[in-house]
Amino acid sequence: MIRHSVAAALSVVLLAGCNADALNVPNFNAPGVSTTPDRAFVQNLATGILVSSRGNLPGLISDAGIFGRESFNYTPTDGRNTSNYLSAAQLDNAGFASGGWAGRFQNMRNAINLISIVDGATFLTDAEKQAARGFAKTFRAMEVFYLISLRDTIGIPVEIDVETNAPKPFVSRDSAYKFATALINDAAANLAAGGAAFPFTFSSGYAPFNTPTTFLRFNRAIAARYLVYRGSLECGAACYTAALTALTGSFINGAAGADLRVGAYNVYSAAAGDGLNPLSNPVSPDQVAHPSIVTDAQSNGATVDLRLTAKTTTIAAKAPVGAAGIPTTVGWKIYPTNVTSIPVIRNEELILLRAEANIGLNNLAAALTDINYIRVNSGGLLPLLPFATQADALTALLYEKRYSLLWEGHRWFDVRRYNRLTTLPLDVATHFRIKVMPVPQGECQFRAPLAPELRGPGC
Amino acid sequence: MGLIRKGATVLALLALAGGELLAQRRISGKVTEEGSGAPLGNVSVQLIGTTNGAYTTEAGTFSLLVPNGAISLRVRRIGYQLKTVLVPAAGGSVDVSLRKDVLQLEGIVVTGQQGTLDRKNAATAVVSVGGEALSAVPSNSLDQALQGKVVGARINLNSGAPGGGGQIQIRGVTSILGNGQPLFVIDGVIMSNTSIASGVNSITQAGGGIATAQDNPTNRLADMNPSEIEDIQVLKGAAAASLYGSRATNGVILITTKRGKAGTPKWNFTQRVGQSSLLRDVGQRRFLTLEDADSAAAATIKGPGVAIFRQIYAANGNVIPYNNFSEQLFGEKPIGYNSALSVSGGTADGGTRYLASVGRQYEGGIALNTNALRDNARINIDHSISSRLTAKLDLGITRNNANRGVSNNDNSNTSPLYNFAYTPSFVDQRTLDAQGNFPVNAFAGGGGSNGSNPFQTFTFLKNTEDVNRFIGAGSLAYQAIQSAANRLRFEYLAGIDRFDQDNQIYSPNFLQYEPNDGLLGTAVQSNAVSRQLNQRLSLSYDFTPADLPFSLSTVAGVTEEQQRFNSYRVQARGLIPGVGNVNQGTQATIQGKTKDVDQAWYVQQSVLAFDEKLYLSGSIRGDRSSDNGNRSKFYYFPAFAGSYRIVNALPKLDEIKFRASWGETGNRPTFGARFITFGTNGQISGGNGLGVNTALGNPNIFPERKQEVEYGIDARGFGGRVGLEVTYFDAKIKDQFLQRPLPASSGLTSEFFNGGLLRNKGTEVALTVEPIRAKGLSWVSRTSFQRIRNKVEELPIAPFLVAGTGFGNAFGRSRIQQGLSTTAISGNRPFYRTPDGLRDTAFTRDTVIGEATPDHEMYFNNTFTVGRFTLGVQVDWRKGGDVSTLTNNLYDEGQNSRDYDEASPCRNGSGLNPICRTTAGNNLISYLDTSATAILGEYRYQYWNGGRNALAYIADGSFVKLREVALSYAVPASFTQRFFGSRVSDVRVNVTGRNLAMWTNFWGSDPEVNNFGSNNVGRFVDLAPFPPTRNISFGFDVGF
Repeated sequence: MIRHSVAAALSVVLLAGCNADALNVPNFNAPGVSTTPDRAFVQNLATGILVSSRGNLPGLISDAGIFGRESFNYTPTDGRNTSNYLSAAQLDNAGFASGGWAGRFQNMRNAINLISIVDGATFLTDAEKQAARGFAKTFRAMEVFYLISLRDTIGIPVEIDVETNAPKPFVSRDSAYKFATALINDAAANLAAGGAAFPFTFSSGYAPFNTPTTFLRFNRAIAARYLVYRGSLECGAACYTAALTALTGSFINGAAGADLRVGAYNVYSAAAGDGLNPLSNPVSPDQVAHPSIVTDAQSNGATVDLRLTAKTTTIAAKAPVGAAGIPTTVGWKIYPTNVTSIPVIRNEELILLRAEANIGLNNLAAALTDINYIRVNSGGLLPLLPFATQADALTALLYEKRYSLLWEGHRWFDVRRYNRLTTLPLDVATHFRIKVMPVPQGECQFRAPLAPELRGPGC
Repeated sequence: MGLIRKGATVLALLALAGGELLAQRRISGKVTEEGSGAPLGNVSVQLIGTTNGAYTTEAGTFSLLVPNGAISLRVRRIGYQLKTVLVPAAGGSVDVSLRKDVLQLEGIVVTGQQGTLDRKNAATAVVSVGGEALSAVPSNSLDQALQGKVVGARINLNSGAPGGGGQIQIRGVTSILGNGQPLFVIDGVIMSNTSIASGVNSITQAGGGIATAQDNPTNRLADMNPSEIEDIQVLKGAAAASLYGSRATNGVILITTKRGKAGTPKWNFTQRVGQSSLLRDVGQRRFLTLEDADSAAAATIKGPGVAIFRQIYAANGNVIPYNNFSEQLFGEKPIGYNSALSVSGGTADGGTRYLASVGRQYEGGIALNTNALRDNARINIDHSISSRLTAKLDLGITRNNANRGVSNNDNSNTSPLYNFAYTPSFVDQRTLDAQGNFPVNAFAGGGGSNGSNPFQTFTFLKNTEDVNRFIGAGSLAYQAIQSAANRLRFEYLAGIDRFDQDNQIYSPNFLQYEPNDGLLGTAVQSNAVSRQLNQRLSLSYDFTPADLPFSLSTVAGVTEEQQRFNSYRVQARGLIPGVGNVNQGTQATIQGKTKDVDQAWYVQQSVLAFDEKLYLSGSIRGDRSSDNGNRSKFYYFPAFAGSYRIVNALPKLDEIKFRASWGETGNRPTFGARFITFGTNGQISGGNGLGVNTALGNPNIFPERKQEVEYGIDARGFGGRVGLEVTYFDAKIKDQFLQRPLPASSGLTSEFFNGGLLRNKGTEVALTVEPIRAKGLSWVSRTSFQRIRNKVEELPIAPFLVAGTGFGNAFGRSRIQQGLSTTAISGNRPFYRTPDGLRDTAFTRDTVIGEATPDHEMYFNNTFTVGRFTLGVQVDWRKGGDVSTLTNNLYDEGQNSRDYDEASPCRNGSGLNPICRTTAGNNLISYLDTSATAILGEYRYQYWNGGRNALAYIADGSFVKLREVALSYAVPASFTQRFFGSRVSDVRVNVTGRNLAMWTNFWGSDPEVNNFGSNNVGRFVDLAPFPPTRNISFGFDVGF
């Protein structure tokens, strides 16, 4: 009797406690790649591209800011934030100054993923698919532009093998720019066929560009920036001309009283899961400004450049840890709160890009109009007289770009493109002026044993 | 069809076979200690071949119902040599005397899941630690109680903070990225020993996010009350642990709690009261000259610091004040206590037995507002439903509460030692101003919100941890056959271990450092829930033929194990003054949820032959797991073991045993490694973003596999007064669970895969000697030695740095590289000559600069008995084992090390030493000041040379610690009876000490600390830890 009941009890307990598929445990923390996509999923992927894009920009501004003698990072617990950028071994690819790499390729891959899901989606209209492709390609092209502007002459890989994850060869600066220009033009074509609405919504910083028609203006603005870059490099006049065309399709507005701040922004929020502005004064109190910004600022005789007073402030002296640099009493107020937005591209830059393209095409009078428009309206300075030479015009333009786009990630690229790196001050005799950001050590170590065409020239 | 279900059917059928009942008689007797003749209580008297048995009373008497005819009794008690007594058919009374087993060669060891074997036959090295040894000296956690008692294991506490926080590593590093902790099993329940970070990283900002491994977490073994434990067995090698399959590469620790004994209720009460104090102080520099003080004052804040110093100096009557901050902050001498009450008893016939116990331990912390409080309660019930069917029910609950302050690495100058390193000793941080506020520390971190005043922080910051835990097990055992030759037993066991951990941090708005993130006030709420379930259905069959020279044992079973873990954290910054609730301010959440399910079956067959001289055993376990890429595939883990005893082979050599074993165990991948997923990459404008998951999963991932061969000799001689156990092991751990790097230009960073081979070899020796054995006088000495060597034999990927093991090449960290020791420390090292030795040149290489694994460790346990006094002393000696001492570096950088002004090795230009040579014009290596003024602190800091020479702060971690001292006095019965009556027996008073002294040349407070908590390889970083404590307690034990 007892024996039977024991056996029965055991069987009951075990049957209840055990089933064969108990081992099938899903991942609770992230969706698998085999998730069946729907509209909400496409929305998440699009948002992911915007989140990654936002995540990549502050590092570029901080890095280019230090390289371009706009800013210092005087974090008290680590002097390498100064020494690795300005005075330690140049091009230490394992040091602090080796960023802006992995995150940008990740976002390129995010864009590729979105396109491949959109291509196979049955729940989207053809127009929506085109709009989504245009969106993804624009961001992919942007990442290539940022990457090549950081690595410049050493080149970058531009393609990604999503099947095998194998490394792709480095291509030259010119090839990388051509690749990205083709991609962003392709995106423009997709957007033109993109109908009335995207199949997803944007973050609020992209509010002026949240339909395919308006996003095309953002696309053209980005294209114009890098066409101007290319104009100053291998491409020359053809690209300057193309830049002017692109600008006409952008949201440029040089009319009297136009809002120079209109543009695309990365927005921040203190909400759970969202991010705070990493460059803002509360989050990064140790990000300070280079003293030359004050000494180089022009004046109208009565008041100093309004852009200086609007963007900087006087602080108690801050010095770097160790003897790697100079103290400064200039602080930032560009990003005063932890949710202040960071501009991606805005009207003020577009007007200056038009001036730059015109200088490149030797249309100095047209350039003067735009430069003076910014000088007067943004800087409160007196207008300039007509330029005698292209070089003079360029000098004037670079001043305006420096102060109009202060600590938005431009000066280092601008002076390098025109071989004017030597205009950057060396605060201490042992300091150097970096020309290119090195490729990170991990990438190079991976490539070291591979075929020669995969090894360099970036490593 | 479920695995267990299949097994159930088979077992249920087998259960229908039966045995028969016999006519019975009652025998009684008394058990005494050989020599002294003292009666022995709690002795197990068991009828051989059955589960029928009884325990002796305190008077040593027992009574037992046995079958008619001649029988054999097995008489045993822990700490005594087992005796088998033949009782003739007519015998009704039997008296037995037991000899003390000082060599620990007796007793029972576990062979895998539920088989047992007499220790004398054991074919693998199994360490047993009795409950008495664990609770003789109060400890803050079971890890601490086990230190120096398990030969083959490295056990260290990561800090001296109250409540524990330690780690146990058995026979070296077996895994780089997988699980590195032993499997803990308590009364058959698989128990979690996870460490969950508190979230104090929100204050220290040691790393990104809300919490990091640098938060000085407590491992949950700390929830165990050592006084509940009867016995701990440590299965070290792969052959011993093989029946635990894919979770056993790090060994298995089997904990058995105390159980009830038949008879009238027996109460035990233990009370200890003690005091803790700082064991070793890192100290603070005393400034001898104004110039020195000026220099230190200017070290962090330049000119203004000098002005502040001169002001203090003038206000103090032109005398430089001195404050030893660490002694001031960690100088509390708190009282702690430990109380335990238990009752054990059962029905006279032994049908129902119970043990109930409650305990409370309060441990004061040596820093203000730090402490730990643990409450335990346990009920273990054994019930015989019939002569064949028995049931067990175990319930244990714990509440464990700790306040552990702030310590370890920081980037906010809030960790006390980090702060003191940059605060010159002339500053008074304790005296409140007229408004009752703490002074603002103007030095550390540059002052203001970049610095802090640790005295203020420890007064107002709350960092509390509250754990509620339930561990329970139920089992049913059915004795299907019990004849003289055949014994068949079925058992079903189900266990649960569930706990929730609640961590709360509240940093009020007014603390000095608070605005450092731009927002006043920080509050963090973290919760984690862990639930583990396991069930096992097993059978054991013993065949003991009377007429054949061997006996057979078979063990088989099926198991299912499930672990679920769910956690979340909420952080709020920018708080309403005075309110520490996370519902306000800005918030961030992190969630993680994991679940692992394992199913397995196992079979073990063993033979004992030739008068129990030869023992052979073979086993196999098949495991499958939800964490493997192929979840339906079984992975097999076989093991073989054998031993042979030779009795009285030589004069004085009573017995010698040769043993050898080979076995395999596994280490399953961690949860999630098999999934290829998108990554969640945060929110923007209220929308959730999905993107690339840069760590690519691998759907083919499978368990790491350890193959280990072990040889040993156990011998005893001189009439049981000398015992020696020697073990050598050689383990290969292949198919390492690794992350292969992918080119970042692919958009990914790594991919999980299996590959590589680690190899661990080692020697373990235990020598037990009883030099004195006389009436009322004895001395037992046990000396253990262990030596382990870890090596990376194969690595199919480029050498890689293990995350979270150190602070870069400037200080040393773990690099996994083929051909090197797994625990090698790599960092910058200067070279002064070209490789051909011809030219002087200076260059730096990131190479091996140290070895974290000690050369060897030795433990010395001595017990002296003189009359009613017993003195136990345990001394631990570690030889070698390098430590990266960043604490020293911080103090030197701040010019505040206690020995800063001592003479340096380069003083007066010892020009032959290359590091002391002055050579201009090469800024790679700093060439040191060889003038008469060169002093030690400057020397070390210059020698480090901004991190180009990490050797400067790699220190030898050798030490000798007086780990435990216990002096106890057994009060004579005549005395207790006069005052307390005859009910009271067994009164003992004792004085104990833990960590009474440490001898070491190490600069920091303790070479055993670790900044990174539980870590497989990185256990060598001393960075501003909570310093270790010394404890002295007084107490008594009463039985009634």
